Amino acid sequence: MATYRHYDELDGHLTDELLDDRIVEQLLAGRLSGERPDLQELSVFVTALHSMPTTLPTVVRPELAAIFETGLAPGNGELSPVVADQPIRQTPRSRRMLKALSAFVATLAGKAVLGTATVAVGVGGAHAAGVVDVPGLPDRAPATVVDAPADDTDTPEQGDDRSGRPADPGVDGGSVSERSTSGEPQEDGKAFGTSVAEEATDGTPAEDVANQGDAAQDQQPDTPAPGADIADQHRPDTAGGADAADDHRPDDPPVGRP
Amino acid sequence: MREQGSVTPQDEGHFFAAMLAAAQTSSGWAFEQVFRTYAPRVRGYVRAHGAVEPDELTNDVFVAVFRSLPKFHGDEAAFRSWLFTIARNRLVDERRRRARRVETVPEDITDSIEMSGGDVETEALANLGGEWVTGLLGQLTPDQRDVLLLRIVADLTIDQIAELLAKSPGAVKALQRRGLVAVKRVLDQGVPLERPVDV
Repeated sequence: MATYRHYDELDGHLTDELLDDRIVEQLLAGRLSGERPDLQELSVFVTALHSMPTTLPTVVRPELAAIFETGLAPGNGELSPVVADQPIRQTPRSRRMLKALSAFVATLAGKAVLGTATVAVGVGGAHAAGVVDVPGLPDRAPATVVDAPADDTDTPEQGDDRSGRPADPGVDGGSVSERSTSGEPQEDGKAFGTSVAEEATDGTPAEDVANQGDAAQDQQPDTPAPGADIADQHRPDTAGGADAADDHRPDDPPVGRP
Repeated sequence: MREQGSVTPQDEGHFFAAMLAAAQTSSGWAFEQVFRTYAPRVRGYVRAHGAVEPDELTNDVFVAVFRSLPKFHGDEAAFRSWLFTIARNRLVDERRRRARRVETVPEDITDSIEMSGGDVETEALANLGGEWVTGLLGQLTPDQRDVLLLRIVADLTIDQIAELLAKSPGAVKALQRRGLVAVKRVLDQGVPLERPVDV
């Protein structure tokens, strides 16, 4: 700053003598003609400064080119969609769902549901394995669920209604299975087989069901021998699919159908 | 009767109003017209301020201007004032960025950018004039330089500059006068810069 003082402060009175406002305006307007020969060079400088901005930028950025092409987007002050979309990244749907699921599990209600469902699956599995006898549950509950694909009129909602009692593993096992697959290992293979079988009630063809069954088999943790046997019974491909399911059909009405 | 082909300030005002209205309804051609009309001045302004990449900075300014254009209300003079306020802010940002990066740019890089495109001879002459002018401007305080550039290149009034720089009109007038006197002194002393004889 000290280097500028000479012009800024010390010679302040001299600047007023050299240039008053009228002269300055004439100079800036390029109308200083012969009146002040001592300002001719300064006049050249002002003219040069006036004529300096004559060229457009040699490069026009894509954002601007897009605006010239399409204008702005209807939104207030937003760039056209082509440009505006670039920095915006949508969160993947799976990620959003996982977040929502995590948030739900984090709540008290979520924990209660998860706990109840886990207990229900465990009890149901134990019952099916013959370890525990739970009154009101069919002896071969999982089999009835596998019957569902043979009956194409069933919908997932009906499947839920069919096993609508809270303690029924057919219900909660189905809803919790998604969480269970990513979390704790199942107590036995039957419960897991049940949940996969319920997924198959969406009206998928028998082959798809069989594939899902295979997939479920692949996903199954080490299962005790009795559980594995029963799970095998559920798999359509192991017993001819619908034929095997027909064997279980007599059990259906008492279990699920309203 | 008016001379054929001459454009009065009223004509310019009407033209600007039509252009602005079209741009605010998102007509691409109007944006381009605004750019063609004002980009040279903005480029000259930032270049005279010593911007390393005047083209890039000018693009920046107009992207910002166009984003906010739908909200702008005012006449051509107000638009110019607004435009150069944005240009000045961008310039300040660029300087801060440069100061943080602490990078050294070879002197001939800016020359090669300027020389690219257009009529080479004209560009070369303009560069000589530009160097002379920017060399003289470099002798001024930042405030004096700012005022002279806003006054001459941006064609703003004393009041507009006062508002832009948050100073009183009297202070702006004083800076303008002192800036011109400083240039005159340097010229009188014989500036070791090339004179734009051919420009």
